[in-house]
Amino acid sequence: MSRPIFAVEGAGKSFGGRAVLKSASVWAYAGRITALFGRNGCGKSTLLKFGAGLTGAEYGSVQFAGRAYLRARLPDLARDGLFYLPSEGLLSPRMTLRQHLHALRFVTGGADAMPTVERLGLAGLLDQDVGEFSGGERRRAEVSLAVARAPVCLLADEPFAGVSPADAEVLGGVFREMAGRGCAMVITGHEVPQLMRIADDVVWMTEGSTHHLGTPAQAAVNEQFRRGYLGPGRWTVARTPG
Amino acid sequence: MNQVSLARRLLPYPPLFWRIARTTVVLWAAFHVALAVLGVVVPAPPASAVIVAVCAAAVWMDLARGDHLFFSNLGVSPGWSAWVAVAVGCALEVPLQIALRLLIVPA
Repeated sequence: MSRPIFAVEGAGKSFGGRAVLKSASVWAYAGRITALFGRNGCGKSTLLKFGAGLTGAEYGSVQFAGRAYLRARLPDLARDGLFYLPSEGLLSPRMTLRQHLHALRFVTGGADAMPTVERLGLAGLLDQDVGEFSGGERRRAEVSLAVARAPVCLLADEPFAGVSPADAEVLGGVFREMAGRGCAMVITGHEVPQLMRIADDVVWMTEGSTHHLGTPAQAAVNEQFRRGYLGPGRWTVARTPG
Repeated sequence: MNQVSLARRLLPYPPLFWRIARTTVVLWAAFHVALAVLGVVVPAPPASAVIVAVCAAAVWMDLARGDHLFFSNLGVSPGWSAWVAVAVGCALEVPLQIALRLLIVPA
């Protein structure tokens, strides 16, 4: 495997004396999707926020596009091609989806998002105030912005949350296509079958630490991962073509 | 690799610039009207600086409240909006101070 485009290494952070991150690390490679699993509250979102420069940490570093940061800032990372898709709150409530896409294209010169907008069933919502969108529509709109940015690296926090199974299938296909164009991605979530299908690498986060489990097939047979996260069911990994 | 150019960093998105400028003008005018109502027609330079600073802080908070994540993902920091507000505030305040001193203070 080549060198990672994006890396968070050895991050440590506490909230009120409780260690949320303990030497947590995650890497993203060009053209590969890393799925980050873990129970609620285990530190996944905090790790992504640190990686995206939205929160500091007591120790650890962020590396992106050949630069190392002790305290990264999202605008700096974004200028080099990072896109952070938060679990909520990406869209400006004062702009329509069309205005978001226009701003994005104007500033970054990104890709034409219209095919993705149509594919995600958002064509009829382009001129509607995003504050009127349902949760699922908002999520699809946010993903369409990520596609429009054509980022070098995408950090997506629970992109499948609140999305119908059919839409999740489409989103999974969109993410695989982005990876196919060379985008390095880290995606968190609890939608195990969905994420296992699209991921190339699996990282399990527990009690603030990360465990790199290899491919989804390797992760599915990891005893500790099964016992500590997946549960007793049978997990088979079928690949989404990308 | 689709990096954001320097020109885009200085003036990333004109509609956002105009929104910030409009908000600053409205706030700045409101402050001056309020001061005039209180009898302070020609505020001293420290008061002018405070007016501009408060306008910048309000504009910064305005961006941070709803648009911060979206525009940060475009490489535009909320700090940029504050500097735009400072520039617009100074462009309004300095000529006003000069005009008021020329017109009112000698009288």
